[in-house]
Amino acid sequence: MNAKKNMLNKLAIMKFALPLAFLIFVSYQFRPENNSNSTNGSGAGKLSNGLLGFIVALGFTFGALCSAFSGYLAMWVAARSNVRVTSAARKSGYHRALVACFQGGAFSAVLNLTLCIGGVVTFYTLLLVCLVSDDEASLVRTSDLPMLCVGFGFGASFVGTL
Amino acid sequence: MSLRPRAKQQLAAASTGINAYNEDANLDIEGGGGGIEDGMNRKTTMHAIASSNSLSSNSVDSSYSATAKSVYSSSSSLSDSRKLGFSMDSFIGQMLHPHRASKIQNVAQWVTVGLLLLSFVSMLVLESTLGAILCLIYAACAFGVVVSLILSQVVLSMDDGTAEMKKVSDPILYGASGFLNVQYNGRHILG
Repeated sequence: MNAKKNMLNKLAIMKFALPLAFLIFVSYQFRPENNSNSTNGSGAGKLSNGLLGFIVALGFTFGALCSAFSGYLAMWVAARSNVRVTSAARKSGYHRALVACFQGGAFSAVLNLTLCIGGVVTFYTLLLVCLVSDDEASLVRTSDLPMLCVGFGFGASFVGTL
Repeated sequence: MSLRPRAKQQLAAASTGINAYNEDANLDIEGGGGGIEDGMNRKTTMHAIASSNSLSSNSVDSSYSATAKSVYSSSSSLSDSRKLGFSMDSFIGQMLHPHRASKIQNVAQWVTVGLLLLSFVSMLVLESTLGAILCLIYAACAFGVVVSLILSQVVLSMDDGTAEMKKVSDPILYGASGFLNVQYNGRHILG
């Protein structure tokens, strides 16, 4: 009867991550505007507070999603590979047990690397398409984009720590 | 509400399972323990242990695949495994053994197709150098998704032990799934 409420109740990590993303967005609003010395300021620093906070909060949410997905699947497989390693050691000896052990760990390693690289590259490309243009008047240069991707790592390590 | 009695049942099953498995292990040591210390490096040891454990098969490969009861269906056919576009038997060789066709291969196939399409679209839309780099990276991500799915499939299609071992391992699985439910479903924390 309350399917929508159940949908909202899902993802306990999301309950922590979304208010934290909102707090990050709010905390950027108290940054002092220093558009006056626009001659030598860095490109990303010249963005408005609202846009900068939105970018970091978006990266935080995206990184939290990637980390939650990989963590769930890695633990799901690792909890099932224990008894399989035991069974392989009981039946077939060291070689098969070590191979099974290695395969169970390599799953989470490959998945983590894939999501890390894919997520960072997708977020970087999104920022690159949305913010950077070839004009001299564009605020953000390509060299400023890694500083904007810092929210991705923050979100991923937040979920990984939780 | 219904978690508590189920957990008690699982714990009771775990304790009986541990006792049963200990007895089983003792029997195994008495039966085939001589072979373990005598010839650790001989193939006959494996056969001795296998026969002492009353396995149905002595060869290693059939012990991998014959008695596996897993989340994957056991309907195996090579033509379905070729749907991935390459034969894993010749690709990674001994690392990845012949595996079973299942729905998850179709998932891997469509994820791969989607990522490759994304890479080609990015190569067409964006400027050339960036598009080439994105094409390479998304193709690598597609390869990573396929390899991780196949690795999980290989691991999950292994034999997961005798009934006594399952009595020990199922409550551990239950606890792990309970942890994941609390962490990701979160009805017990704030809800």
